Parts: sequence; C-alpha cells; structure tokens
Amino acid sequence: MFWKNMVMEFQKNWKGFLIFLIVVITISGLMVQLYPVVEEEFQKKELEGEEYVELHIEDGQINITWDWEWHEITEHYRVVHDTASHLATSEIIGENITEKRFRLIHSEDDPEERYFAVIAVMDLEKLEDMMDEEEIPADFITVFKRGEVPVGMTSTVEPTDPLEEIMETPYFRMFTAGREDLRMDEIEGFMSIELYSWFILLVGLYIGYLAVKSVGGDYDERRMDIIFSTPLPRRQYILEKFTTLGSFLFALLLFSGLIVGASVYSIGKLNGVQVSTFVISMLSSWPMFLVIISVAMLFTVLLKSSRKAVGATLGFILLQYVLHMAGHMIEEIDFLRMFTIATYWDYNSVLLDGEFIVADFVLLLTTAVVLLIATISIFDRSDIPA
Amino acid sequence: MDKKPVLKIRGLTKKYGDVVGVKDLDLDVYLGEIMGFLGPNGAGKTTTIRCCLDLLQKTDGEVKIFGLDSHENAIEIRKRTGYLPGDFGMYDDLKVKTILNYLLSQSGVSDKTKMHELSDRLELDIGRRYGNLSKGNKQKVGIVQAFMADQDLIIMDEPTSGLDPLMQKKCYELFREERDNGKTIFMSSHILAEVEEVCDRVAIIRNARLQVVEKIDSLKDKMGKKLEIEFENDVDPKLFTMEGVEDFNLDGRHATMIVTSNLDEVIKRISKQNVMNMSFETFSLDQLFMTYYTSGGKGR
Ligand SMILES: Nc1ncnc2c1ncn2[C@@H]1O[C@H](COP(=O)(O)OP(=O)(O)OP(=O)(O)O)[C@@H](O)[C@H]1O
Ligand SMILES: [Mg+2]
Repeated sequence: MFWKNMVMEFQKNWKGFLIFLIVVITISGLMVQLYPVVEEEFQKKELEGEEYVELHIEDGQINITWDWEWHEITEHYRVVHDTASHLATSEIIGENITEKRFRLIHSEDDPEERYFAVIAVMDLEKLEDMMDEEEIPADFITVFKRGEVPVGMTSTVEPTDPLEEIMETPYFRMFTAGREDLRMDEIEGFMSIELYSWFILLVGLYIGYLAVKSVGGDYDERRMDIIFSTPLPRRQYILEKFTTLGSFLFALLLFSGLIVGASVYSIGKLNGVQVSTFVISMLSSWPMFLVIISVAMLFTVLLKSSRKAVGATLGFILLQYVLHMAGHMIEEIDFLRMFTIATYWDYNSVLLDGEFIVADFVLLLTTAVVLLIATISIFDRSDIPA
Repeated sequence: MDKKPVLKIRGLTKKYGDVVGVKDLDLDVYLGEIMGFLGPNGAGKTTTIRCCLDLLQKTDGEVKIFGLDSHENAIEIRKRTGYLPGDFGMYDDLKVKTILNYLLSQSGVSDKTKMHELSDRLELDIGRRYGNLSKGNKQKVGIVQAFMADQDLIIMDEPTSGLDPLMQKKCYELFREERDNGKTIFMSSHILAEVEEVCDRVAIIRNARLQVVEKIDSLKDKMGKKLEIEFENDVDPKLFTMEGVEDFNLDGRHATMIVTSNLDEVIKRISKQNVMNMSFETFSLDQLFMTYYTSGGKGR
C-alpha cells in the first residue's frame, strides 16, 4: 500500500509541481541563452592585425616595425597614430621601409596611451589582378579605395582581459566556489556561476517549502486525525511524503540538466562538453536537496505548524547559503563551510574536471537519511495536536 | 448482554504540561453497546478518545482495545476501528468521492457498497468538492468515513455537531442499526437528550474525572424533566405540592417545576386549568449535575 499516499500527494500537489518544474526549466534554459552575449563581452580585446606589427620602447622613442607577406606588391606604407591628447596624425613613409620611430611624450615608465595603425598602399594594378582571380588573401582586413589595405595595429597599452580583473576580486570568489581555473567565457564556467551557484536557492527554497507543507498542511488543516484513523503507520506516512518529494525532485533535476544540455547544444556551444555532464552535475545535487527535505520535515514535526516550520526552514537554507558564500570570500571563516551542505555538492568538479565525487554524494545521502530517521522517531512518539 | 469489554481503560491520565486533560479514568465499553461519553466543554472527552486512538501519548494508565494495547498495537486496532474526530479537515481541493476512496483503500477495504449506501442515506452528494461543502455536509462526510469500512468498533467525538435536527435523528437511527448489527459504539456528546435517545449506557465526565457510569434507563429515573407552563388564570401553588415535583416556582401565571416522577398525576392536575403554553424538556447537563450534587451523587 506504499504508493497510495504518494498518489494522493501527487494528486494534491501536481499543479504546484508542474508550475515549479516549468519555472526551473525555463530559468535553466534562459541562462544558457544569455551565454553568447556574455561570451562576447568577456572576449579579450585584441587589436586587428596585431600579429604583423610590433612596438618597442627604446631610448625615449617608440619603435614600430612591421612585416607581412605582401611587401612585394606594396608601393609604400602609411602609419596612423592616435593618442589620448593628440589628434590623429598620419605619415607617409617611402617604399621598402618597414620601421617608424615616434617620440615618447611621457616618461619611459609611463608611456602615454597610444595606438598605431599601419596601412599598406598597394600597387593598384597588381592588386586588381589579384582580385580578378578572386584571390584576396584572408589576412587582408579590408581593402579600401585606391588600394589601401590595413596591415595591423599596435598600442603602448597592454591588452587587458576584462574577465580576469573581475575574477580576482573576493566578491567574485563567492561564485566560483574558489575555483581559479573557472572561466566565465567558457560555457561550463558560465553555467557554474550563472545557474549552479544559486541553484540551491532556486530549488532549495521551494522544495523546503513543499516539504514543510506536505506534513504541515495536514497539521494546519486538521487532517491528521482522519489520516491516522486508517491503519497507516506514522513511519510510512513520513516515508511516503519524503519519497514523493524525492522523486519529484529527481525528475526536476533531470529535466533541468537535460534542458541546459539541450540549450547549450542549440546555441552550438557544446564544444566537446557532453550533454550528460550537465545532467550529472544537476543530479549530483539530489542528496543535498534531500537533506533540505529532511530538515524541513524535522522542523515541521518539532514545531507542528507549517507557519513556524517554513520560517525555520527558509532561515536554515539562507544561513547555509550565506555561510557558504562568505566562507569563500573571507578566509578566517572558511572552515565554517565544512558545515554547509552546499560544500558537498561540487558541481564544478563535474563541470570542469568531469569528475563526480561519490564520497560527497554518499555523505549527503547519509545525512538526509539520518535526519529522516530522526524525524520519524520524533513523529512516532509525539502528540498530534487536535 | 455479553460482558466482554471491547474497550478497556484503566487509570488513564493525560497531562498537557501543567494542564490535566483527563485524570485516572477507568471505563469499559462492552461488545454490542452504544456507550455515551457525556461531559461539558473542556471535561476531557476529546482527550480520552484521542488517547485511545494513540493520537496522544498517555501520561499514565492503560488502554486496551480488542484486548490489544492502544500504543503497541495501534495499527492492528485501527484496522478494526472507525473514528470520527470532533474537529477535522480533509482535502479541500478534492472530490468527496476521491477522499473516501482513498481512506477506504488505506483501510484495506475494496467494497464501496457501504460507502454509497451511507452517503445516500445521509443525503450526501459525494461528487462535490470537499472544500465547497457546508459545515453540516462536511460532518456527514466524517460520519460516512467512520462507518464505511464496516469495522467492529466505532469511536465518535460529538458525531452530530453541526447537523440539523432531522439529520440528527437519521444519525441516531443509523447508530442504533449498526449496534443491532453487532457494532460497538463509543461516542462523546455534551447533550443529555442525545445520549438519552441513542445510548445504552452513559459515562459522565467532568473536570477531567469520571463522575458516573450508568445505564440510560436508571439515569432516566434519576433525572427529571423540566416543565414550564403559562396559565390563563391564576393558580393555587399548593396544587403542585406533591410527590415527584421539585423546585416549583410560580411567577404570576408562569410556572416552572422539575418533575421526577408521578408525571401522570401532574399532567392530570394541569389539565384542570386553562393552559396557554407549555414546554417539557429533558434536563440540561447542568441540571443533571445539580441533581447529582445536591443529592450526593445518588440522584433525587
Ligand atoms: N493541546 C492542549 N494543550 C493544553 N491543554 C489542552 C490541550 N488539549 C486540551 N487541553 C485541555 O484539556 C482539557 C480537556 O479538553 P478536551 O478537549 O478533552 O475537552 P472536551 O471534553 O473534548 O471538550 P469539548 O466539549 O469542548 O470538546 C481542557 O481543559 C483543555 O483546555
Ligand atoms: Mg472535544
């Protein structure tokens, strides 16, 4: 008769289950769709054709040299330069010269930000011949009128990685779970930060609420007397509620994992990552949420009212989350993370290293079971309020 | 009557912290009888019943049902016991039919005949959503679920509360019929008239303690009826100074009295007067207690 209560639970709650499933799946899918935008945003800003142009600072001078394949058909080069304080200037340099020196405006240690562009003015006839044969070389950035082709650019400013700067802040360490090799411009890293790092809140708060309500609702709405007028053991009652939520949760995680995987595939960013990686990383959170369900039920049978138990459960989850985040940010309290369940859901090791940590999974599962047993033994010998 | 107790309570005590719900209660309910459990609000009726069903943990004492321990063998007992709680809720969003089927299957019963019979009899539409039912109809759902699994013992906490008088009568009929079919019924009430009408025996509880256990017939002897008459003309109060009439009170032409016996003679004397209005009712519980206390618990 084990399934009868489960059927009842689903019958009572299916609307809520369905809505939440849709919400989680939608959020999971949408997060993936944000990735291409962010990927672009965090791309290292490279100067066009910088591989052909070099810049040296020497004896108070900036020395620009360049070298490319099309020197033979180039009549002469033009170097354009731009500074923060000067307007752009251009200089024409005679043929066969591939070097140009500029005076430094500031000291050698602190050169002014300057950008240089080298433009080749090509022999128009030879260029047109080439273009007739449709052999425009791929490394031509573009071809301007009168046979001008930009060779490349260089600058006194080191190219910066906008991501690295953010990632070095302690604030950001909260979201990378301490992983320094995590890159937000890679899909695994992006999903780790944008979805997995707060997934415990997204799913935990609601599943905790559901777990409280599944038992607490029977207290609140005075159904306990009727339920326990049938030969249903109290132990089985709790177990069935737990199993119902646990299986709903499993389906929820499975679907979210699949949706994330499918969305990544749909934007063509799978790049060698398996869809199963996303599914497994999601499913590995299952016992962590089971702990939340157990805690919620424990609070409910102790407090015998869902209003109080919801408060206690949400408080528990938020405290866990804050401790976990703060532990990554502040070294002195890092040891506290040992006591947070989120520590034992290491989605990064699945996402980034392709490694599923069985020991953590088992530890969480054991915790959930121990708490469930505690819940049952308390409920077994407690008065049911009239 | 076969003197085999189906429900046997010995020294039952339940404390809620400092509050005593029921103290040192002994009670036997025998096979095939309807035992009324009578007491004013807060007397300890619900507490006693819920201890029997293992919904509350006893502080002290022993409860045996079918010879089984109420706590150790709770599951076994519940297979054979129907229960109507005094205050209950069900699944508001579900149809009554769905709920009843679920409860029936939990009890391991697949035969739905009795469920339908009872619903028809109590004029309950089980196709409706539970949450939309009126208070009285919800109570009917409770009664149906208590009896539908055709169990041996039925325990009910104020079964007729919220029902209209006509429906109450139907319920009394149902209870008696079930008893005649061999069921044992233990039901609480705070209405003396109800217990008088439906029960074979009554246990009276007050302030957490059992006061008396008595057969209804002998209780009837002990309790009087309250008679209230409005005469057309002045009457001589001496007219009612007689055996079996107590607490006679005349206020103008309005007389009240308690009739404990000699009813026939009283009626005859009244009939010689012109009567405008008259009411005749069973004692209230308070009046019964008054009788018990003023006469040292022996009545009259
Ligand atoms: N959960 C509780 N906590 C504290 N005291 C309680 C609790 N439940 C009942 N009581 C007290 O126990 C006593 C007996 O209550 P009980 O509900 O058994 O009375 P009752 O006879 O069923 O009354 P009623 O006719 O009003 O239903 C009362 O004094 C009541 O206040
Ligand atoms: Mg009561």
